[in-house]
Amino acid sequence: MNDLVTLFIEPVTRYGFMRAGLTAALIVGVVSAVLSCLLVVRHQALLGDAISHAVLLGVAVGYLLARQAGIFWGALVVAVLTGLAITYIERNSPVKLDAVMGICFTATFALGLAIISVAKPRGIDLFHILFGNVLGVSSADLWLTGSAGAAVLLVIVVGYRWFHLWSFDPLMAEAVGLKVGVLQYVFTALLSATIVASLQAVGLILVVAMLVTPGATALLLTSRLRTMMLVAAAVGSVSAVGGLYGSYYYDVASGPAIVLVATACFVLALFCGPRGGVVARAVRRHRAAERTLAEDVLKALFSADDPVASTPVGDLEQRVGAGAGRIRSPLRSLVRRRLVVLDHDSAALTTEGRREALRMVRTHRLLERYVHEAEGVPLHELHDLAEQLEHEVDEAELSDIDRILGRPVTDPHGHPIPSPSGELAAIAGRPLAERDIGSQGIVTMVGDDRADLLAAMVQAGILPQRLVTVLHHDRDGVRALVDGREVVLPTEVASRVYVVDANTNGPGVAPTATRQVHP
Amino acid sequence: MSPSGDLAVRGLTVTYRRRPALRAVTFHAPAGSVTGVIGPNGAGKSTLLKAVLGLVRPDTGVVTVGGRPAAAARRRTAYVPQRSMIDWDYPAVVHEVVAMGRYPHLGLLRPRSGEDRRKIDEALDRVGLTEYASRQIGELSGGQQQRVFLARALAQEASLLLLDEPFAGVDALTIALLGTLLRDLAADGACVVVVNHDLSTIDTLCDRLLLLAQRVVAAGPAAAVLTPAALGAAYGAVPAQLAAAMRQPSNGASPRAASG
Repeated sequence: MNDLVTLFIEPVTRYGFMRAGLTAALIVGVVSAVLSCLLVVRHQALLGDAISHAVLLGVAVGYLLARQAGIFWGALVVAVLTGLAITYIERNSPVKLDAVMGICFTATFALGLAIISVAKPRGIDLFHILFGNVLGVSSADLWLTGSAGAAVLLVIVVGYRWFHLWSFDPLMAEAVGLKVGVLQYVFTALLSATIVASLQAVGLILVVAMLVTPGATALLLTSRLRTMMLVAAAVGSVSAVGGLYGSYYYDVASGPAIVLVATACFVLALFCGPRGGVVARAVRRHRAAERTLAEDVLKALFSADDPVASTPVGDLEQRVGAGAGRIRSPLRSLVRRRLVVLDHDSAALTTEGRREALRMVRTHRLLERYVHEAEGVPLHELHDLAEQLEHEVDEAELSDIDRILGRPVTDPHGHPIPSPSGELAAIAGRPLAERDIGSQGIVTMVGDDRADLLAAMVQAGILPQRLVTVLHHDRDGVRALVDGREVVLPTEVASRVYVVDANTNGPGVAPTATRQVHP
Repeated sequence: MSPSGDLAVRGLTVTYRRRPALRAVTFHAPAGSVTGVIGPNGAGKSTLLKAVLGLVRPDTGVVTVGGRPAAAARRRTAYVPQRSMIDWDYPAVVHEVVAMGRYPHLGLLRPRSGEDRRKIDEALDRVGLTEYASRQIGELSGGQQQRVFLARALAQEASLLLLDEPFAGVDALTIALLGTLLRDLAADGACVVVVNHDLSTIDTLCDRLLLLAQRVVAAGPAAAVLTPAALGAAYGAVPAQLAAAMRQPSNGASPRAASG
C-alpha cells in the first residue's frame, strides 16, 4: 500500500508540474476519446490526422505574429479553417474525402515546415510540438485546455441526439430536417479545438492515436453509442494517467507513452473482448460444442411413446455418434441441472428433462418447416440442415420463426410440432404397410429418419396430404395408387408412411385429389 | 388525428451533374394506399425518393404532402433506407434504432415521456421484435433488419413512408410479412411508397404503380400499368420475369379479372 502511495500519489503532491500534467492529460484523454467514438463510427478516423498536421502551420504563423501567446490561437484558427475547407471541398466537388484530406494535410504541413525552416523561430521546439511535453504544461495552457475540453463535451452532450442520428443514418437525419451540413461543420470545429487542446499533452502527430484508439477499443466492448463513449473515456483516462507516470519514471516522451498505453488497451480488447475477442470466441466455441452434445443426448433419450424409457450409457454414445467418454461431461451437467437421472449406468429423462427434449423437438421441426418454406430446401435434406441449425437458434429467434410461419402444427414431413408449453399431439393414422387392401386414405406423415428412403417417397409422390389407395400386399412391400398413379413401395418405405382414412378428415387435413372412390 | 400523408408531385425535374434524372414527373400517391415505384436501372426511382425527402434540390416542380409543402411534413415523413446504406457494425441495439423515430418529435433536449416509451414498445411489438430489443443490429437476419426500420417509422408515427428496395435480399416469407405490415399501415391511413426492383412481387403488394423511365411512363392500378406497351416503352422490352408473371398471375387473380 505504502509503495503505491509513493509510486502514484507522491509525485503529484510534491510537484506542481505533475499536477498540471496529470490534469491536462486527463482532459485530453477524455475529450478526444469521446470524439474518437464519432470518428470511428463515421469511418472518418483519419480526419483527425488531417487536421492535426495542419496545426503545425498554425503554430508557425501564430508564433511569428504573437510569440508564445500566439501559438494556441494560431493553431486553433488554422485547424478550424482546414477542417472547414476539407468539409467544403468534399461536399462541393466530385473528389472524395480521403483524397481531399490527403491534399489538405500535406499542403498545410509542408507550408508549416517551410515557414519554420526559413524563419527558424527560437521559441518553437519542433519535437515538443510534434510529440508533446505534458510535464511542461503551464497554468495558462491548463486553462485553455480545460475550457476547450469543457466546451467540446458540452456540445456533444447537448447535441447528442443529433450526433447519434447523423452518425448512424445521415439520410434520415437530413430527411427529418436536420441541417447535416451545419452539423458536419460543427463537428469539424470540435475536432479542431480538441486537437489544439491536445498539443501540449500528446503532440500533433500522436493526437491522431487518441482520436482513434479509445473509440476503436470501446467498439470492441460495447453495443451502444452512449456506453461506447463512456468506455472510450475510461480508456482515454487510463492511457493518460498510465502514460504520464511512464513518462515521469522512465523519461519516455509523454505523447508516445500515452499512445502506447492506449494501444495496449486496444490489443487487450481485441483478444479478450466479448465482441470478436479471440479468447471469448474460443470459450464460446467450447461452450457451444458442450451444449450441442448435451442437446443431442436429451433428444436421444427422448421417446414419444415411453416417458420413462431408460437407455444404457453405451447405447446412448452410439446414438449420439460421439466417441467413447465424450458424453460423460455433458451427461454430468444434465444430471446437475436435474434433466437426467443416472441409475446403474442407464440414463432416463426427468419430467423437466422431457420438457427440455420436447423443446428441442419443437425447435427441430419448426426449423425444418422454415427452411422448407422460406428457402425451398427439398424434403430429404431438411433433417440434416435442421440438425445443424437447431443448436444455433435461441428462444427469440424461434418464436419469430413460429410467427412468420403462422404457427404451424406439423413439420413438412407431417410430424406434429410440440406446442410452446410442451404438448405433443399423436401422429394420426397407421403405417401404410399395415393397411387393408382397397382402403383409401390420406398421408399424414412420412418418416424422415432415412434420407434415402425419404427421397424414394418424394420420387413416388408420397407426401403429406396426398391420397393413397392400397392395391396389393406381398413379401416385398405394398403396391398402391398415389393420386391416380401406381407405385410399388418396399416394406421399409411403406412402414414409414402414416395414413388416415379418407373419410375421417382431421382438422386442416384435406385431400389434394378430388376423385371419390368407394371402398 | 394525424395529418394526412397524401403525396402529390407536380412537374418535378431534377438534374444530376448536368444529366437529367427526372423530367416533369407528375403523380399522386393517395393516403391509405401502397404505391410501387418501378422502372429500369437509372430510371430515377431513388432520385424521386430523395427529391420527396428534400435531399436533392429539384430544378422545377412542387412536392406536397397532405396539401402542404413537403418540408412542413418532414417530422412525419419516414424513410427506410436500402439495407446496404447502413453500417450494421454500428454500436446500436434494436431498441435504440426504433427510439430514433421519436427524435424528430422530441428535439434535442426534451426527455422521453412515458408516452414516447409506449410508442416505441408498441412499434417493436407490431413488427414482432420485442424479444430482440437489446440485440445489436448486426446480429439480426436481413428480414429482421428491415423490420427494425419499419418499427422506427411506426414509432415516428409517420403519415408518409418511403421505402427504398425493402425486399432486396430477404426471403419469401419475410416479404409476405413486410407486405402485410405495409398494407396494415396503409389501412390505418398512411401513404406508403415503395421503390422496388423486383417486378414479380410488386403487383400483389401495391394498390397502384408508377412506372418511371426518367419521366412517368404509366401510373395507376397495377393492371393498367403492367401492359406490354408501357413496359416496352420503359424497359425497351418486356422483362422476362414479368412476361412470365403476366402469363401466370399469382395470388388467385385470374387473367380475365386482371384485364377486365
